[in-house]
Amino acid sequence: MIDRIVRFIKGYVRIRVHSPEMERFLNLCANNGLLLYQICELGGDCELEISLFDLFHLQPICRKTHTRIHIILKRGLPFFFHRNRKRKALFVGIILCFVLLQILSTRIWNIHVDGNYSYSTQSILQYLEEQKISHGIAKKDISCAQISAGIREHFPDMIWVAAKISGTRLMISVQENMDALPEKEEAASVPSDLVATKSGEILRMVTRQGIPQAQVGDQCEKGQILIRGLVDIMNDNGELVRQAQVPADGDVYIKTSYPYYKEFPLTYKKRIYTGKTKKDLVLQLHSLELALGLPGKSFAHYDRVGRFKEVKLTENFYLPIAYGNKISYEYRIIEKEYTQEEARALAKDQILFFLDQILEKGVEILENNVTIEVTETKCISKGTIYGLEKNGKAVPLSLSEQPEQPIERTTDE
Amino acid sequence: MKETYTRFREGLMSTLEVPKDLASQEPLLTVTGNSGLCIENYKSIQSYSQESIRILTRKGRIRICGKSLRIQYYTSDEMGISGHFQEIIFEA
Repeated sequence: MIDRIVRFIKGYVRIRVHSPEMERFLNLCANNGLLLYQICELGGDCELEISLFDLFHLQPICRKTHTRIHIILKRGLPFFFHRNRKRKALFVGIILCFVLLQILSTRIWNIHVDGNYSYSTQSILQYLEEQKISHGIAKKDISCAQISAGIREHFPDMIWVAAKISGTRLMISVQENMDALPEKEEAASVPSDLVATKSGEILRMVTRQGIPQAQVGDQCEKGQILIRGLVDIMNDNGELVRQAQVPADGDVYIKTSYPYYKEFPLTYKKRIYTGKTKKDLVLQLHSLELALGLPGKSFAHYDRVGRFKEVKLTENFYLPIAYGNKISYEYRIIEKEYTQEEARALAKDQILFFLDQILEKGVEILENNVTIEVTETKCISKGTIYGLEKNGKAVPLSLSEQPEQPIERTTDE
Repeated sequence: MKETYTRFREGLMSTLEVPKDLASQEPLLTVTGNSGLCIENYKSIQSYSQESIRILTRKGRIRICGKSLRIQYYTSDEMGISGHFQEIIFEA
């Protein structure tokens, strides 16, 4: 195949050879280093292919063997150029093509990321864009070492990053640390108090470090110190020797209440889909949206669902062009009314949803006093939900609270 | 004398494990089914027609008989022949 391409580029001719000494002619050609192809005997004569360059070296051999040659076919680029020598635009176009190819090959047209698991390719590309490394950047402006170092710094979980330029592609290979455990919150080492963040009755309390300032059953107020970080150190006589500062630590659970009130009318509007749809082809150029096709009859009420496909040049090089369609689904609105059971079921679902939201915050539900009441026009659910919630946050001891240490006495005094 | 020299030469080449096509310029034929043939180590073409090709080598002549014989390429080192082969005869 490559041989054929080379022959085409160099140009070749098919000739008919009329010679009384055909074999001698062929042997002389081979011995003189002339390459002959597709030799075929036709009624005493021979047809063969020879390159354009070798054709000019045939003359002495022809004279020696009394051979006459006749060109049957001319093939290859030199003949193509000769035939089209008057078509200037064609040659300008070819030259322009090569120039463009040369210019474009000095830039990056594809950024390929592999090995990423928890970080998406888009997030890595976004970071690169912030660093002014995007599709179309000149290769000379890229420092692979700098990119690798930057990614490692920006994404701490990446333990190995390699960037290399291959042709017009920027290949980024990363390896993430999959064994890393989520970092545990380090216990505060700064002396601090544990201060209530909410008001409520203390139901459970465990003190690990510090002096408790409240006990189970007490009503605590927001901002009240629950565990003190200032510990009195007494001697054997019960006298205060000094005060030590420690980070107060413990678990304080309080009973909190969540008032709940929700109502909704029993009449509601229901959508009934008629099954009629309308499909519009849409072309999106950046923020401009163009509807293709003829405008048809529009629906009074409809839902619209769009599906778009972005046009990309390479793997991750997206152009600001998207195409797709938008489908409109027609519907009618009818007024309906909930029955007692339906209304109660809906209200129950709403309460469960509210409870789920509370549970997500880490609150343990102790009591649920919400009642559902259905009147003629509406459904009302109201009441209070009691929960067991962790309370308290560490507040560093202020400098003013730092006690004066007793001066040590020496024997000289 | 010549026979002794030839025997010695062959013995030496055999000991040195030099391939025969290199040692004594024996023709090398690579046949693909009955439609493709590649020949190396030959001297010249003696006769050529669509039915037969006779090739001169250092060890004698090789005659290829068949139908629609065509020389695919012809250089001083190598020759490719295609067509429907019927016989390949080594003539003394």
